[in-house]
Amino acid sequence: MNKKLEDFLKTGRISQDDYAFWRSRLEDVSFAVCDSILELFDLLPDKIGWLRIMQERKEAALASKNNEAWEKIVEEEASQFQALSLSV
Amino acid sequence: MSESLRSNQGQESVESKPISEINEFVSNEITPERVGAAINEMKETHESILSNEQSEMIVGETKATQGALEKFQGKTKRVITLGLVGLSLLAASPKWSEGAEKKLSPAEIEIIEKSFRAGKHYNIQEKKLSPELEQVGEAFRKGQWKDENLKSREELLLKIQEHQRDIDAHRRAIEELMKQLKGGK
Repeated sequence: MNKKLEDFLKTGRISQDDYAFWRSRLEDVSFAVCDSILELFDLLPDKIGWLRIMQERKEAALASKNNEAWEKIVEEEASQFQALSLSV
Repeated sequence: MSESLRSNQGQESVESKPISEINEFVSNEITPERVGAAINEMKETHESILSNEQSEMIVGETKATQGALEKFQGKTKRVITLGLVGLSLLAASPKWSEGAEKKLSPAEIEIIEKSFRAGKHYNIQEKKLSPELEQVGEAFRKGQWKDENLKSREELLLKIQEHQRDIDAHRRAIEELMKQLKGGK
């Protein structure tokens, strides 16, 4: 894992469960991917727990190629960002 | 609303940016078309990294979120889009997508291999096992491990090794793809 991302996750701003989840998902990910995810986490630190739930659902939907489940995930993502954009 | 997002938005008034920077934002925008083209290109060199359905799902996500991100300005929109693409590509890794041995880390796989070679049962605590791996474990537990199991043991080891190779290939491919999306115009 990119050290900057590891340091960010260690800051204690996220729950132990979220830390363990992201640690397992990002431990062997290379630089460009880590860097993009760090920027996203840094931008939306309050959403790291929500992103974790979405990530678990994405893994399941992509594994089973379940389009219906995927579309629900994407709809929820779009609504979440829509709400964020309105609060800016 | 996070302070981080607030502060980023605050720094990004398009009016205050020189034309060259605005153009850079436009040319660096992560559009669904760019994501689709990058995935297709990756699939040419790294065959079977993503299935067609998975590629369409990820491009579809970028399309669907573009509208919701319209109100965000250049850099913020780019960070969110790239982050989401990165997370979805990561979620498509065979590490999380195939079989029950998906939860095993390389270190655990090494322990299993050594245990199998030594003819010992490795107790993979709290791991959800594939029926195949359960069967091998059960044979160990019951002391039913015999030479006739050797074939399935070797097949299992090959399967685990192949699985690890797929994970490594996926990791390399998404790294290239993200570099291309981040750096390309």
